[in-house]
Amino acid sequence: MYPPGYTEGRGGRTEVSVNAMDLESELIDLSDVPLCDLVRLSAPELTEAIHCVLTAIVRDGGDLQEQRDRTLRPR
Amino acid sequence: MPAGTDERPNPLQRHTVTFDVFAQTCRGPMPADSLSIVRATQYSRRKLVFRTLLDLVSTTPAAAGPLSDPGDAWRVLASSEERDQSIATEVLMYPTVGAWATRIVRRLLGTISETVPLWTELGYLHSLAAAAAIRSRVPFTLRVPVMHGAVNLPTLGQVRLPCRFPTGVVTLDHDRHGLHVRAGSNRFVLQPEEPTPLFLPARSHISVSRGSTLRLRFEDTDPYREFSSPLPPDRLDDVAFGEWAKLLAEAWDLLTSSHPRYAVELANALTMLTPAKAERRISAASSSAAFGGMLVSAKTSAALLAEAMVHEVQHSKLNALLDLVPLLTEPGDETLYAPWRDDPRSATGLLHGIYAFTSTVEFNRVQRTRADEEGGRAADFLFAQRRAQVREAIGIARRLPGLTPLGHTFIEASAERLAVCERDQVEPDLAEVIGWLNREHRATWKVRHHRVDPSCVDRLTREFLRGSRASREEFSAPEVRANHRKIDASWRDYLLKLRILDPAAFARVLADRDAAIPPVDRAFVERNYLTAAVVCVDRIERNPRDGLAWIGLGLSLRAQGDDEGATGILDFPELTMAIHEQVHRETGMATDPVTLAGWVGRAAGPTTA
Repeated sequence: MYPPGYTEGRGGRTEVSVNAMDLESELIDLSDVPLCDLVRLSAPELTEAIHCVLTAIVRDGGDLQEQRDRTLRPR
Repeated sequence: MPAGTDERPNPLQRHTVTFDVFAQTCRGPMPADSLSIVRATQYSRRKLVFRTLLDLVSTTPAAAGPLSDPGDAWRVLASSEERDQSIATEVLMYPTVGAWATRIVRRLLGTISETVPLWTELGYLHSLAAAAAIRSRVPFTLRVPVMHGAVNLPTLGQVRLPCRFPTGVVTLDHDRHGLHVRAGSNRFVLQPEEPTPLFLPARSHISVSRGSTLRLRFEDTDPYREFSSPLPPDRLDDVAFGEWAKLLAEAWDLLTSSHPRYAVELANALTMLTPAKAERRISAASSSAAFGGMLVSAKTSAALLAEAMVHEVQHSKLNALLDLVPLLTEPGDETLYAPWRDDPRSATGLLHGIYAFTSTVEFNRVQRTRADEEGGRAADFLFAQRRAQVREAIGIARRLPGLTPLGHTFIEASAERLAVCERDQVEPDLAEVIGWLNREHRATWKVRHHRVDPSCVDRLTREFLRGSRASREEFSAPEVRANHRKIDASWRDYLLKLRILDPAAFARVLADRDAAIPPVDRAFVERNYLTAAVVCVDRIERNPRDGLAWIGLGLSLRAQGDDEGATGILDFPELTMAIHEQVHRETGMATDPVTLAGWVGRAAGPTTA
């Protein structure tokens, strides 16, 4: 589940350590794929990524983070 | 639509995040080069969502209704990219586009329903393709939807039709002569970017201060500007827009002078600001689907606006980080207490709050030393309140079972940042009020959302009636069921804040004979704690389910030094109230709330009340 290179240190929470190496993400790199190629692209990892996106969207659906109004007013 | 697929021999690469970028994200404000990496990863994510929705559309061709084939719209967008990549990227990365893309995927999957026809919403794809093509001077013809009487062109503006169309379709032809609009028998030509009664250009705002530039779109027309279901345009008049522009300029000046690292971050991440209507009753909001966008209510000072902007951009960064690395094994159910929220939050929501409010604490730590008297008092208050809230939330987050090693690192980074802020002293009267507010909020949350285990109530009631002493181990963990009991906000909360923030107004409100201040709240804020307790007991005798009276009693006992009684009510309000009711059911007699609270508090032992 964890990215490679991560180890849990001994002695509990405060001693959990993370190796200071680069972290490979699950996110596939489409930043340089031209839009005209995007719809034709086919790869097993893309299929898996699309499945993950669908799962995440159904679960979170663009989760909104809200700060409540702080205006002073009586109830 | 993706009929012919391109079988690429090389596997797709995955984004790699350097540990430095991860650590910078944890530490707060990020430099421009790290933010450009974050933006690139968000662009990948956005493209992935688009590929997902295009796949879905290809399996449901009827979804497009009377619009042009979505494949044609995509080809127009791709042509725009070939002409000017930066414009296509800017349009695709526009926050409303992200919010819409996530929403339309859910609509295509059937997980949300809506009265607006599916094709009308799907047509935002056509609209954004048209906008990119117009901006990059690519000719096209597309049938696009009309929504709320207008054709939306994200990042560009709105075509206002000279007739009312609740929903409908128009044909846009773009060539070197301009944009030809065909709506039924109406035909006209526009030169986009030139304001006319038929075309409202998107509003932009630019502030420059100390060589730094804040450039954003001020979004008051796009249907997805609030990251939710489509809204009609709500164009601010020139005066209102001018007020926003003035305050944004002042906020930018403040940020560049007093918070330069946060200014760098905003200059490189914030792209859209939507003015929130007062009736939304929010201070600010952002969406995990809309990197760089924020919804902000009108503020009374540049400092409040700057603080809201700093806060919201933290959410955008954390959302981007969560797309890259796992901080939690699962987001968790919405069962957690977050001291700044009235509703139960998920683990993800708790991390968001910790991260964003740590920046709020840091922001106000600076502000309290630089602002004028009134602004300084407000900054003092926010500094102390948010610091106490983040401190408590970090304690909750550290116990989350789903926290990964990276998640622990993330939380400990916030704890380190907070530790720096803990060195600062606050005035005793302010610390006192913050303590009351936080105790009241926590207890109110428990009354509202905690549902006690009936067998636990039975067991403890029997022991109470026998006069025996119970132990903490006998308490069952309550179930969190959102809003299972109604409880209003108290006047106490309002009056205590007023006592600190505006003493003159506080005195006026107390002197106002027409103000319907409940006697218990008046007594409490005037520090007549014994009177407050007596009034609360009287209210409880008349209505044992009066949650506000119970909490008022707990606070009053705490103020008088009755820690056991305070613990029984403030830490276990739902349990104490339930035992009180059960005793009445079993004996027909009401038991003394103070005696019962002390009994529960003794069983609980030392806690946080």
